[in-house]
Amino acid sequence: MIQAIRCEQVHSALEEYLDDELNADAQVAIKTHIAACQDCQNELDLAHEIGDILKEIPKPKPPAAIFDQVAVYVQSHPKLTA
Amino acid sequence: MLEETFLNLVKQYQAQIYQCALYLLNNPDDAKDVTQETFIKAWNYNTELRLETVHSWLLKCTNNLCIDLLRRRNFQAPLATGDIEEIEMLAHYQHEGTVSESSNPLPEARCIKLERQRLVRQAIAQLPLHFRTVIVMHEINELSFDEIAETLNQPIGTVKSNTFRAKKKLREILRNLYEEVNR
Repeated sequence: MIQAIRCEQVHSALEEYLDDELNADAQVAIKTHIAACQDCQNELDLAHEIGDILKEIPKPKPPAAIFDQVAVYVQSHPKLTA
Repeated sequence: MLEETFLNLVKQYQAQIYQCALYLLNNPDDAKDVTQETFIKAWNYNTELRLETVHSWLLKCTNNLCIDLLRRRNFQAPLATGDIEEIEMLAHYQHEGTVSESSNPLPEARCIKLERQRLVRQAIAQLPLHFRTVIVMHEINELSFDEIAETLNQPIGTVKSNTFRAKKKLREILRNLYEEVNR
């Protein structure tokens, strides 16, 4: 039997719920709770929004000086390797 | 490892190493120094490096260098306005260069998106270091839980648990930041 759960329990298990890491009963209990609770729906929306922003978060390219300076170091410190 | 092979590895992994250091340290100059130091250590460790494990070795080394740097600074990721602005400027110009005119969203929607990205970056910088590390590796470096576990030498269950807890903490920080902005 699926137990009713409280908002705090939903909030603290949202990430596991989104990653499908909970057992089947817990997944259903959370889904059912969220469908009837605007506060938890808002929290789920925020979790989705964070996920979407993280997917598009800027990833600046490294400055060219990094490769150039590493190359200078490598060329001035040769290794006797096979 | 031959010089040419090594320099190809630098080309292949420098972006990921730099982005990892940038989001852990939140400072472009420090990220540049740590990235260089990582590859110089790798070259000095040359005879022990293996192609199959070099990726996780580089990330582990970067993570350790970032921890050392942050430890010297009392575990604070500096959030100086100049650093944030510089990261935003770097990201902005690169984004503009890769997005076609027709796919640009409306200016207002774009402003909201950039503001939310800024708040998420601010929230990441406020995470405790062990949470920041897993978020950066999972979300910025796009590593799997297995790869993070190998890099950090931790059980996969610990990595998963820390990632979920980090995301909860991120949600909590971001909720507060949204409330502050909307006040």
